[in-house]
Amino acid sequence: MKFKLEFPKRKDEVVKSLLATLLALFVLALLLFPVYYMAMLSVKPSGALATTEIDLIPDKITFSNYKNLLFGHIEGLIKTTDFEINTKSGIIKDSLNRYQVVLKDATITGSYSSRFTLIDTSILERKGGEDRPEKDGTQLIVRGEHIKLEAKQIESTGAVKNLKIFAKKMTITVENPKEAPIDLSKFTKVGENTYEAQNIEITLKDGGIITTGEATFSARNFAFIRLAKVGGDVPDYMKRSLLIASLTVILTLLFVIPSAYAFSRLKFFGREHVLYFYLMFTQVAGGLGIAGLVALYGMLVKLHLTNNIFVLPVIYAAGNVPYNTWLLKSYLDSIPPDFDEAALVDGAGYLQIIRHVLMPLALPGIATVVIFAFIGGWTELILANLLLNQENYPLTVWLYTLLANLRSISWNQFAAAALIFALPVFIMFLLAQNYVRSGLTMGGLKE
Amino acid sequence: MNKRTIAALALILPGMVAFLFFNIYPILYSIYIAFTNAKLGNFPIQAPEAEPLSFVGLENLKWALSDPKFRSAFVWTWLFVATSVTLKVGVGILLSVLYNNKYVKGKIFYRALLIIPWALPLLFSVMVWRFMFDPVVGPINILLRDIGITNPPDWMTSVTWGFIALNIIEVWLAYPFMMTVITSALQSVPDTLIEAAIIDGASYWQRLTKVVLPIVSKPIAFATILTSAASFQYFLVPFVYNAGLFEDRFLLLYGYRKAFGSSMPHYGRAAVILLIATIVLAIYMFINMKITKLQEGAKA
Repeated sequence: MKFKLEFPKRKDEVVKSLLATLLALFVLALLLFPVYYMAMLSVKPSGALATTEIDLIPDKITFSNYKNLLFGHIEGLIKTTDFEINTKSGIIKDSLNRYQVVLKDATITGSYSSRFTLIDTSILERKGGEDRPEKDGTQLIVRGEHIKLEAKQIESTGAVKNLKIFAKKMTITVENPKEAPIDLSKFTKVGENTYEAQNIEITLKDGGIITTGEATFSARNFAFIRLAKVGGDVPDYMKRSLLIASLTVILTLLFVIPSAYAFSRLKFFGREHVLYFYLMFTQVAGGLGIAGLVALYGMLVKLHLTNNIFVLPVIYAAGNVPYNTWLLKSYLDSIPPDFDEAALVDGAGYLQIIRHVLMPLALPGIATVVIFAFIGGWTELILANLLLNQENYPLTVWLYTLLANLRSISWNQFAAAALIFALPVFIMFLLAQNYVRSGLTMGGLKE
Repeated sequence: MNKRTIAALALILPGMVAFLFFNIYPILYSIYIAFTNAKLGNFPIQAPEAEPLSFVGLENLKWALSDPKFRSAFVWTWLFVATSVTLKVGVGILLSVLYNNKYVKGKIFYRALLIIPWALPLLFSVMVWRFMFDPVVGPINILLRDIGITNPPDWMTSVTWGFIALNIIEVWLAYPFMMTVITSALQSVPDTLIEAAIIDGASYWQRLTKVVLPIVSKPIAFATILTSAASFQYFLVPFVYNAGLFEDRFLLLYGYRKAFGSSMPHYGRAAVILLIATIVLAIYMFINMKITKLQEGAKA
């Protein structure tokens, strides 16, 4: 076969084609930008959210937001007088804002009663101290001789005085060079109020609030250290969401497969009416669902079924009946009835026919129902939010409460949480794209 | 009853009973509640010192018709249907025409990517847009500040800007559906018809309005009706975005908030609001179905 490249015949055709394609690409980028931006936000370090510019490509990709949500980290609070911090980067801020010291490759030592928060920390060495286990797996060590920890981030609670600092590079910004409580004679002036020095050791009598990046922290004769797990509760929410979604799938199949078979193969009185009713219901289901909510809530309160995670799948599956019965019935209609009629003649029961003849043939249709039901159970918010208490929250309700109280979490972690929630749905949709798409267009039911 | 009918009933019953119990019964029960004084204290469970639950006839209906917030919600809901449906159909047609244009290279690839919003859970999409419209860190306001608007709109707490934001969100949520329907309609237009029009000397605009649109108008009408029903039932987006702000802007949300979003829940009034909304929607859908004979297509 001859390969033939088709060149556009005229020059203005090329220009038109180029412009049209560029426009198509631009519109595509515009429409997908929100999702892209959210995904990008989730792989940026927590707290690194610019308010002045749109950052299209992150400088540094990190999965720490996901890690934190899924596994959590250990946070330590230590009280000690004698300490030493080794860090690659750190900042010491005067509590009166007279100066700020930026450190590279530094050792900070002090002997001043102070408290530090160590984020994402673990113990490297330890000598002495009394263990006092507390509830929720919190570890408390009291009056130890020596301890050495590593941490992703260290912050002092309040200002720490009498610091001795050695650093490979030290940059000091002062408010007023003449009145600065630091001896600046060994520094070179690099900016208006900025001084710099290499390999230098200073003492900082007034000290300041210490913040460092990755660091090791050692303490002698510390008063106490408390190590507690922070975050990492997403797996709990996921487990509940998964449970609800799986039960919804099972119940939906139990409800839908037999009735789809009956509607597709058996002629009986009232068949058309029920089918028509089911179809009409699917068109207004969203609004009716809310309309029935008041009564449903009343019913469940009277039956003492609120805050029960097993009630939700039953309600979801019941709501799935009309649409999915239609969907599966349409699929069964496309399978020639020869096989199951032959089985019927051979004396097989209806349930046997469904189980052994139709189910294998209708697998793609059933798969579609499974995916619909799973997505429905995984993403339902309104009813779960109304009925469940905090200890039973699935992912959706947790995300919703996060949105209502955004100060409790960084936007980056929020984006990661949202993506953890959306990803299973997205993957399932891709797997069943063609079926779901034709099904959605048929019923017109996106929301 | 013959054997076949009994068998069919046995097969249909489990699903149908569940459906009737959890979907139809609550709706009927809601209708009853709409005519009672159900509120905090006497519903769902009667408290001893509270006013007993009793039938109050059309009291709730009278209240609703004279309630300024209900009127506002009713008007704004239809306003939202008008604005969002116009935008959805317009954007749907524009996108379909653009991604069906013969000059665009790689159409199939773009169309596959454009469907992405469809594959995402609604809650996720609302969360994404809640971030987009965040007054401080949201990229939309950052962009507006970049181009010199020093005081960009507050999409979160201003009702007008919030309403515009909800329209944008709804267009974004619905365009994959609109585009899919309209694109398949456009593709069903026979090429020979267009070629004939070209030979007859029809301009691009004439071909579009005289040849293409008459053929695709029926699927577009179908999509428009379905999407207008979705707009009327707009609930989850304003609920997640800022439920308090839009309380008197969307009927379903107002009904919900009357029952579950207030410190003094009045279930009877909530039920009557939701009942009115449902009846209005049913009438609207019925009229549309009759006009377009939509159910004939659905019966097939």
